[in-house]
Amino acid sequence: MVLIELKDVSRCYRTAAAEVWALKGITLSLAAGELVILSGKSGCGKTTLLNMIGGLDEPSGGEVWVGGRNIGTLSEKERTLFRRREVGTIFQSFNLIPMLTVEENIALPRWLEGKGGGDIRDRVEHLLARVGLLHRRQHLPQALSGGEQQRVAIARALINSPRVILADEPTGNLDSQNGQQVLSLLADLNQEQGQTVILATHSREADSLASRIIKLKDGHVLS
Amino acid sequence: MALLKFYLLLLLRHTLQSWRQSLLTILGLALGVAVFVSIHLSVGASLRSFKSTVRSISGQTQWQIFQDGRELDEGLFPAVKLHPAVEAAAPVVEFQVSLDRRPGEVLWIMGLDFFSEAGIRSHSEAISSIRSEEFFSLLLTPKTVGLSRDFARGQGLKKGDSLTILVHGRPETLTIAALIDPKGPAQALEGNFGVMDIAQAQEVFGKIGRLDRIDLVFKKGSEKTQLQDLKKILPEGVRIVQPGDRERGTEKMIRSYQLNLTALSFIALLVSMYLIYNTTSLSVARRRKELGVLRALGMLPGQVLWLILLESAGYGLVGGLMGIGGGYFLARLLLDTVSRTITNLYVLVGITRLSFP
Repeated sequence: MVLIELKDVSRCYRTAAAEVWALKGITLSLAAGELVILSGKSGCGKTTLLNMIGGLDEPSGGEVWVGGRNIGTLSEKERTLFRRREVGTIFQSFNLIPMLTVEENIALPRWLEGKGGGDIRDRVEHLLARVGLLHRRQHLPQALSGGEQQRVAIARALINSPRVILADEPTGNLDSQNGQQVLSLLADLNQEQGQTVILATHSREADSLASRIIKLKDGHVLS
Repeated sequence: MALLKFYLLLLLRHTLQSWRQSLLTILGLALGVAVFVSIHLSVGASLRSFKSTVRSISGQTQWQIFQDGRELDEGLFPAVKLHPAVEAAAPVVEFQVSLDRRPGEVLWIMGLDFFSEAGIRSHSEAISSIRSEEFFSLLLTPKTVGLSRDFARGQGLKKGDSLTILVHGRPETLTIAALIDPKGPAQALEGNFGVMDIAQAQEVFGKIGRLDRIDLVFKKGSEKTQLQDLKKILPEGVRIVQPGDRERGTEKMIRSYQLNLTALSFIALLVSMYLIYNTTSLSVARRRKELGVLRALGMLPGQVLWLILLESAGYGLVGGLMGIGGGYFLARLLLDTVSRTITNLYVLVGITRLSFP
């Protein structure tokens, strides 16, 4: 079943000095449950493509369809709710909230939904166990290693059971061991829960985990 | 509810993390609010004291005859008293004195014709608390005064003691012949009140042959006609007004003074508001990345706005409450200064206590 469809999607960043086409006429379809790797050099458009799919940015041309909805036609509020409910995002620099503990960071997307109490507690507990951080639940992010922080970010991305997980260079700030752990975790989650995972990465280790690799160059899809 | 708890959790932790800046902001706001509140309280208390004094002094007086900037000729009184429209009339001499060797203390002394007072200031109130031997002493013994009991107690004085006042800078020693209950006119100026026989008051205050005003009550009938009739016998420049009119005139002056001070205190408030704005702006700039992450995770723009507004509201609430409390104490410190300024500029007021309106 096709979950994500891009139809001739382009993105142009215009400034007073220049015009940069980050994406040029991208057309592709991604099925539900796939683990897709976006590979390419820095500046090839991987992050822009992820932002399009995740509703963080709007295309300059073309259409982005996710779960049967054209993201480009959504209002600001609808797009925000889409990000909250349908998409789990994992960033290269983790982007945890420094003032919140590990379990509070994980619970955050649920709080934004207005949910609290027992429902959240059980879910957070389950995710903490899944990413192996039950013993660190009360710690602040500053007290964690890079790998541990990224695992918290993964748990946070999963709290609302999104249909799509977007991971932008999730191992970029990690050593190879931690990086491998994170990639394995994402692959396991894809297998266990059937979530569609789209991973932008330079790392060659991820290739073996993917059901599909999409190579980008200068805003185009090569393969 | 979960969202609100999240807001409060985040705000509290941010506040504690930059507690020095938060504290400075709150103290700055508190100071601005304190200045505003203290001015409002102290001038407001002056106004209430003035109005209360006028009401206490006026009693049942319907009309007052006086001359702007000058005293009345004493010879006018018999003509007024005997006028067919007049039910009761009482001459009044009054003087605001300060006490010798007690700087800042003021006393308002009314010189009354006790025999004319019936029907003007009720004898069932303060003046009736004067015993007959004290009454005769006030009438017949030179330089005697009846003091309000509260004032005497505050100054550590008792009946028979001497009280030296300053009249045009000149010391005059009075003997306390009576202590009067804090009722009626003795409540004027929150008890800083004394009463003398009018003839003695005229002599002590250098107003022989002159009066400050004549208080009167008309007989039942058409007040407009009576007023017109009475005006015919009044000399040029002498006016007849209701106590409320005089009160309103002075009240307007005090309110304009209050307005000036309030306008100035608004500057302090504006500075405080700017402090909150500045702190919030800096906080938002500092937390730009965090707010960006929250938006990426699905926080609505309105929710971000609420987060920022709550922070400002928190500073406002804490600073405001501290400012109100601080304003009360500041008002107590300023009370004497404000009271003396109003007394020097407009009318005698004496405030001894503050209250929130």
